[in-house]
Amino acid sequence: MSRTDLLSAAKATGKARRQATQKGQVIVMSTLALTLLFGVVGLAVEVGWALYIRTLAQSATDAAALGAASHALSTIGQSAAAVCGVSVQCQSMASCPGSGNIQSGCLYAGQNGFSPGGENGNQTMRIAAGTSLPIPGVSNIPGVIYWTQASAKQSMPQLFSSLISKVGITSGAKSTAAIYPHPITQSLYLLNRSSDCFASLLNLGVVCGEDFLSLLGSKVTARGGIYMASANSNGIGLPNVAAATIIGSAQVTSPFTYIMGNGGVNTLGSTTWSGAPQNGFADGDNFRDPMRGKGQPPVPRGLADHPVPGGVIAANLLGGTTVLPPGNYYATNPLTGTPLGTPITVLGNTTFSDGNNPPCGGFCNYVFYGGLVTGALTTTTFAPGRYVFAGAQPVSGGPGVALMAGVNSVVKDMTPLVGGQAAQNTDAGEIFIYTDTNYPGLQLPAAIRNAGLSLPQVTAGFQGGLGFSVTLHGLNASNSAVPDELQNFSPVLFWQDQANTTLSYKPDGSLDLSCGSICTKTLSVPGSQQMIIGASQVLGHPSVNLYGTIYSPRAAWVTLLGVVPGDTVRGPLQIISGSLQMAVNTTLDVSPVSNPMTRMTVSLIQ
Amino acid sequence: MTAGNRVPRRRIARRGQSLLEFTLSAVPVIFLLLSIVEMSRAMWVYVTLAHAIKEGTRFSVVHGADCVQVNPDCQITVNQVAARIITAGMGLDSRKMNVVLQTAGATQTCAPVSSCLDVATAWPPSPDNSVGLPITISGTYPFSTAMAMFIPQSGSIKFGAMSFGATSQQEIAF
Repeated sequence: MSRTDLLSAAKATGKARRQATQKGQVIVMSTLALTLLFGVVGLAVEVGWALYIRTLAQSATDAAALGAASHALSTIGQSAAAVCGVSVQCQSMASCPGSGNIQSGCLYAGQNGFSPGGENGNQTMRIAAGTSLPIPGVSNIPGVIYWTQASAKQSMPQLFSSLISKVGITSGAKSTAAIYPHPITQSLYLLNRSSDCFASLLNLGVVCGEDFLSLLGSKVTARGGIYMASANSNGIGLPNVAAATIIGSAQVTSPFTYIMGNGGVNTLGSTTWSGAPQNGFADGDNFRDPMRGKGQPPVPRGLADHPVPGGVIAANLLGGTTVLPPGNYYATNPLTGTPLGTPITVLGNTTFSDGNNPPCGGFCNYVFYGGLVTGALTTTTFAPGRYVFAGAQPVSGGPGVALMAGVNSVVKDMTPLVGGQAAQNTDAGEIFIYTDTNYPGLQLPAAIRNAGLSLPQVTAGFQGGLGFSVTLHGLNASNSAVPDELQNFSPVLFWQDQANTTLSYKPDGSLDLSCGSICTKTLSVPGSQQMIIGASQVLGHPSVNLYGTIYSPRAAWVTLLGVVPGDTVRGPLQIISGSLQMAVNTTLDVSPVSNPMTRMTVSLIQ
Repeated sequence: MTAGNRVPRRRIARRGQSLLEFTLSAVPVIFLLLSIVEMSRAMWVYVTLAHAIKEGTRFSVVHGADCVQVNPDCQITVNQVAARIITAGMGLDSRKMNVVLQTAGATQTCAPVSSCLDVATAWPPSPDNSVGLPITISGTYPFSTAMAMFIPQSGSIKFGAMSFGATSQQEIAF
């Protein structure tokens, strides 16, 4: 063997030895790499799964808390109290019961993938509820009448993550919901939908879906914002009209105007509307009657009768004030004593009060049949209380007038203006209820009943001659003199009967849907859906100053009626109505009330 | 020629065979693994982004006007919402996530979301914080992947970036 052969043999032997020692190296490296790779992938999957379960749990607890509280609200309604064990279920954090509103919440959680003992016993679903405050783990929320708290957890098998920690994986979430008094703060709630129709003021015939109409020179300043529920767009064909129409030099100023759906604004002339209206909002609470479910304010019972012979109350015309005590007032034939159904005219300065201080222990009750007229140059004072205008005889085929203020007359209550404007009252305030003789609970005086006198709906609100002034304040629930039955209606000042509309309402104040859609009816006196609020001025100063809420149901409307430029209605005032119509040259200037009406609402709070 | 000389010839003939087989099988395997990893990563990015956006929205809707009215401390600010989104989007780079906060009448752009950590503006702003009004939060997050070159219509071979988007809208509840 040559030297070269020996070298070659030695090289071959070394190479083979190296190859032999490297055998299996790739397998080892691959195994290590794949183990690490699969470990990391597995860890990522576990963490991801835990996060996914947490999201599911959040949905489940949200649904459970909301479901349990919503069920409770549907049971207790807008007026009743939540009483543990009676109207609602209460328990500390525990598993789901077999019935009741808490179980409803658990069923909602089940629909979202969480149930007690679910996922082979790995899930825990617990729920608490109560009426006492504070809610556990939640900063104090005054006014809450009932709360629910749901907790959902799921433990998961620990695989790859056990290499890091052996504490186990549990993913979960917690939610809290409550029934609380939601304040209704916006200035204008205009409720008419596309299907709500009435005779147009512009002689267009019947129009549908109109929320707002403002004519030449009128001005609206709504500092609390505007909601409109009509989805009628601009340019839609008759009988439908746009949600809002403003004509001529009419102006609207509001921090916002939100319109449901495709609702639009039709502008004719050099009008301005700032800030610009926005549409596209989904149907929701802001476009529904905030009074639904509250029923109507009850009327007083057991009042003394005060027949007014000839229909005229001749008060002190030479100074001083005549006190008119609480009771039922109606005009009678001076000879026969038979009720006439005609308006009662008050001449001279009068006060509706029992003469005590405070009047009637803080709250008086009156019912007027046929309407009320105050004479020219008179001052009429309404003590805190409830004033029911129970129908009037039609005039020329149209509705009678509930309250008419004479030329240069003053209609006021016992809260003076502050700096020339209405401010929150500390007394019980007033509520004016406009209805007819069929109002639920109304006790007709025997004379009216025996005479077979039935007085139909009136034009709600008030009207007046030139130079009149009106200063009134709505109910003030913080005053203890307000009857319990009216607490829920604070700070309503004017209330138009829900029967005074072409839509049918149920006794609880919600729309009657038993006809398949909303049930409708025909009013006995056409046009009596209208509430007229007279606008006025005295020596160039706005003289209609109101505080509170004006309520007129959907498919009815409020007309602000001024005569000359500068005639104004102003104050911390809220208008809830099917539609708002601004007459020529009338001004409405409103800001939010300090003590807004509230509505019991269910919401997630944490 | 002896038998001992034929064996090396076969070995010589097989040289590179393993390399070739490895190459032929490893390329699709690696591609498959890479695809799985990248797809998983993409899904994780999207799900995390969506979760973060939803958390931000939920956080906002329970701090509306009613909450503020009963407890002024309930008023939250843009930076709190941004922080909430960043926390919920654990693992996402807050310097790359763009977020737009919207109410019925106001818009707050956070591009990136970390830039809003020092914005102390009230959120949702009045009067758009009333119960029932919508709050919309949308976010985008870039996703760069080597797999982009395999995505149809991505053009020539390049390592492009996609952008994932997520939007959450809820009504103000409290």
